[in-house]
Amino acid sequence: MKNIIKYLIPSALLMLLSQGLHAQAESGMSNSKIEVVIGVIVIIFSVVVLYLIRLEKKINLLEKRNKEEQL
Amino acid sequence: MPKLSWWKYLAIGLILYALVGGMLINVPTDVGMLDQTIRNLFYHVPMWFSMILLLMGSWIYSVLYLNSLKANYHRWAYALGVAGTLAGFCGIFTGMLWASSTWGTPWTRDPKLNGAAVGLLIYVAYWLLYRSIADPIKSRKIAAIYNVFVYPIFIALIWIIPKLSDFSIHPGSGDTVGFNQYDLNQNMRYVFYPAIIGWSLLFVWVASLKVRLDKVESDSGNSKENIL
Repeated sequence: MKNIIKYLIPSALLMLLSQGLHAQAESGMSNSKIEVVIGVIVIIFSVVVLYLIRLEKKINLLEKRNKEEQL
Repeated sequence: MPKLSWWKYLAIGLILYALVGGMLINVPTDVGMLDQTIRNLFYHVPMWFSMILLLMGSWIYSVLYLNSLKANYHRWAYALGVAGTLAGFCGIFTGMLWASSTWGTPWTRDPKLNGAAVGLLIYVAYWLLYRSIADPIKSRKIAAIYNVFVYPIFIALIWIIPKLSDFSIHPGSGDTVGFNQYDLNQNMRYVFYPAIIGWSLLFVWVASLKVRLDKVESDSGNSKENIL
């Protein structure tokens, strides 16, 4: 289940990307540089996610330390 | 890289899909003054859906807390309340930007706007109520009871009253039709629904971090509960 989802998500994303780019080429939007805006959005979101993962790491550590103290 | 639960990968994946897909897919062009900003359906609207779902979770945990008086239920209720309010503020600020371009002003006398603003204040009050009572058990009980009463009022404010009113410029409330009444490109649903699920999961993730942090704090004797 876990692995299926991990592999399914990137492949679904790539499929959508290719479909979207195809649609874009058809509609003549390919000159609008929309890909730059998408890049900016993806960078911002990646930073937010990386920060969440960092918090996750820190809290894992705190939880571990707490458990050891209680023993 | 810490091990993440599968639903966190799901959240990241769905949001990335919605962020990129929302920019790329073809949207209907017969939407008048909305023009390309109809794409905000993939970014602004999921904030409100996440808020409603998270606050519903908060309500459920408050009921569970009142049934059992287990501190962890209260932590979940409170964290979901805070994360849901956060989503609501994202919704209101993005909405103001969208309104400036579509309606020419960031704030109108639309009942949906005013309802949402009062609704958010209600949840800020929940936050203040819990933080301002010194006795830990009393503060949890009062906050939980407040939360149980407030959710139906909140839903009435942001959903029912706007639908009943004669005047609204929001789609699907008052005298307007929903987006689904337009001759919509069905593609939009393929991005809109994943966006809702993804953003809701992300805000639940934020809430879960808060729950764990509060628990660590209280276990190590640093929290409000131990100091007071």
